[in-house]
Amino acid sequence: MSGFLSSLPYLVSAWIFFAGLFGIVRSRNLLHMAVCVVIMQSSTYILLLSIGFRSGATAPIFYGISPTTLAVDPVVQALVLTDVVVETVVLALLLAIAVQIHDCTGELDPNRIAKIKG
Amino acid sequence: MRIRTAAYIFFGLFVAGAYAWAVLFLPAFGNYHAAYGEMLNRITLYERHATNVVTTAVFDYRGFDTLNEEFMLFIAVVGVLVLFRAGPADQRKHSGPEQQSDAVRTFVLGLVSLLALFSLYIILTGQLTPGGGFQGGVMLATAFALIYLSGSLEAFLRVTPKKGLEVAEAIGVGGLVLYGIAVVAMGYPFFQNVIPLGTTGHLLSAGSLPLLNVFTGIAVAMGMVLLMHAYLREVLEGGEGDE
Repeated sequence: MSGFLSSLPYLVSAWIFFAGLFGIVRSRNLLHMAVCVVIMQSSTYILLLSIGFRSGATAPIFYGISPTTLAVDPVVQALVLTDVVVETVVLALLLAIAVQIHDCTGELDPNRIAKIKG
Repeated sequence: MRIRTAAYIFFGLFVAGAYAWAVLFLPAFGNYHAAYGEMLNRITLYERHATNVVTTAVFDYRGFDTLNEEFMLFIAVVGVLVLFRAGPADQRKHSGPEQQSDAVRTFVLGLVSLLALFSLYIILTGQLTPGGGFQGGVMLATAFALIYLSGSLEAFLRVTPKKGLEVAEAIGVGGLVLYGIAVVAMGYPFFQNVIPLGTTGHLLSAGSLPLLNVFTGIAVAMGMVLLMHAYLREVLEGGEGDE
């Protein structure tokens, strides 16, 4: 049972990744697709943070606590910070592209856009 | 659609297999011992006089990576602006939010000042407690978003002149680069922490961290407001300079 529980974060991360990917594959709307990209990327937060976790450890902020306190890995947390910022601006860029596609073709369905282009 | 689903299942099984194989070689959950992170946890307090190891890793030990991240944000903002400028103008006029009641507007006015103050606190104490330029910058941008939500598009555009935003964004991103170059000109490695470290736990401690956090805060906040600006103009006014 403990083996299952300790692999649960990795399973949750994989589940979110595949749920997001499924949404992208079956998407009929570009806005829906952009949200699915965000969901897919949020799986990486869980993966990174659960890799860096240490049992019984506190956050790597030594304000008011002993400098020898056991703390979780700060490097993966810094990576997640980068990840969040990147996701935000990627979403902004994707939505801008969706708005322009809608202005140019009057469509948001990726299947129909491909037909119009041909 | 059916072909796509089949391809999804087929390739998804490969990815899932590779992922499961990779996870097998990870240390068990809660047993992670990476020398780098462990070392940062031990030395940051003494070497940089900062108590927030994450912010120190982002802006000091991995400062060069953060510069790239900053440029990524900058390029994405520029990309959105260029996309909206290049495309055909949206002819349909959408109306902005309804004029809100006096009670809502007064409440939001107080909330905006509180938010701005709190975001400055988050930016400035990034080296001590959870926070930093990225988090505080996004909060500062929400203060501007509240102005739009409570009042009108005109009020939002009045407090955020586009030229001012662009200059502030350039100061934020350029400040980081200039700090790195100034340090090199002084004969140190790029992004070396050369400012006096101060006393641990004080507002102006940890050397370059408060300065870099302020630059990042400006860049992030102005980038976000520029994004809002571009979207609102495109959707509500029918594109750039179309009036």
